[in-house]
Amino acid sequence: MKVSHFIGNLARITLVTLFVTACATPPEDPEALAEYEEINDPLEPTNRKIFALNQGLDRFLFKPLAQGYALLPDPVRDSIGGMVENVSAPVNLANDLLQGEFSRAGVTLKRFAINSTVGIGGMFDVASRMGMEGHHSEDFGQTLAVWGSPAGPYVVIPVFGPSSPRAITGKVADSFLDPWSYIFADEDAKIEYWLIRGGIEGIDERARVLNVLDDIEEGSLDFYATVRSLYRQRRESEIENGEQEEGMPGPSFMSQVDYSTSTDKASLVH
Amino acid sequence: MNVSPLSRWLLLCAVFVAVGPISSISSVRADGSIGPAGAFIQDFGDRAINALTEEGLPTKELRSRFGKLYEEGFDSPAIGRFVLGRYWKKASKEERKKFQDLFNTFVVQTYAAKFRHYGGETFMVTGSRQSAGGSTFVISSKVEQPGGGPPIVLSWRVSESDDAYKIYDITVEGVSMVVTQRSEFTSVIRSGGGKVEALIDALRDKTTKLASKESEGGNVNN
Repeated sequence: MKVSHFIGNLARITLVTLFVTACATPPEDPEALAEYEEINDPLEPTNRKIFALNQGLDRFLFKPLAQGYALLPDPVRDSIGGMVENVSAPVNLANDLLQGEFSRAGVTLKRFAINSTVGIGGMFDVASRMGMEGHHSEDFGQTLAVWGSPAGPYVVIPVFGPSSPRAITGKVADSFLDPWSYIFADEDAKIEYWLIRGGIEGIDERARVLNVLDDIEEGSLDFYATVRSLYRQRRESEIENGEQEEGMPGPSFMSQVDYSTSTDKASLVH
Repeated sequence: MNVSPLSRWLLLCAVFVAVGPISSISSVRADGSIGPAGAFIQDFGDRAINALTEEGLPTKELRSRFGKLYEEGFDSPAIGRFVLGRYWKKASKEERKKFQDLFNTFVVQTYAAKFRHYGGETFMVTGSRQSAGGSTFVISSKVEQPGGGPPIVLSWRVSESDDAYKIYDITVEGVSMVVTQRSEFTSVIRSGGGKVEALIDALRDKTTKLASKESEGGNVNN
């Protein structure tokens, strides 16, 4: 069977699974309904099954691969990471521009020009050594967010993990924005390129969070809910380009502490 | 043959299963004046790194040191209330008490463990901002890793009362600890039919399980 045929079928099966299976029923109590809408995970029963499947894949395939990859010497991993970054630079650049982030676009362009040439296709991060730091990743899902599109419900995709309709749409758009996808005349060659690149990117990402994820899972009562929250917050932070770090203390925390029924008022109310 | 665009995004997506990349770093505003709240965090962070990343520290001692720091620097009653979300109101007095006690134990066990992988880091407060009302602050900081990797960006939410500062949240690379904890706890309560007791039971099981790790080996520090 041809690779492209197999992938096409996998994609179709995924979509059917996602949208045909039963959804959770929205609650009637107004407070519970507000919570239900905030969580925005109507496919939770299905999502949990796919999440469990992904955890199995992670345990027996991706995590061992990432552990092996983590054993490579630092310079080797840096080179691999650098090449992956460099390959995705055109898509980053397009999205920087579409978001009106012109100074970030400048950084992306300069880094790409220097690392592609002097840095031999991204193997050596010469740009950072020249003081041009600031690698960031932008995708069309983030661009849609900047343009005001909501993320939509939480979705867990087999193999690929947490996502949303907006992120999925963004990935489709990115594939059209990517000049590399036009240099392969043959569809199968194109697919192989995506598979290899996606595989390396994935293993590289997984290797970076080996300890972090183990700790989180060990201390977790509901790993699915934790990952859902982590994914959403990370995504939000990427969309805002980390700028909310600098934000003012929002009223969100304090207003959600219910003083009226608190048994320990003194510590917060002054 | 014809390949749908859908196939392309599937392939483009990185093959990772659980969380998004923890790699993008926000630029940190260098701010000369960090104020008394910033100084409090600088001092607290320095002491925490010194106390918790000591090589070969046994788990029991690590937890005990972390527990003291948590009690001293964090507003644990407020954090406990926040992470219960709307269920705080529904909980009985005894449930609240039981929850707060178990939650504090849980925090010490799980967060202390995160320091096992660290050693040789330097901590620097980079900026401070005060809320309009004046009683809360956001302190930005970064942790430089000894290996020279990208710094970890932390931001601290601090409240001031009776001339004492208390931390009520830490945000790591855009992820808030209390928001994450609340999402998880309220999910456990919902799965348990909306009963706070379900969370208390789950916490009791977890803390008992984690307590048995106390006899295990020391700090990894890699």
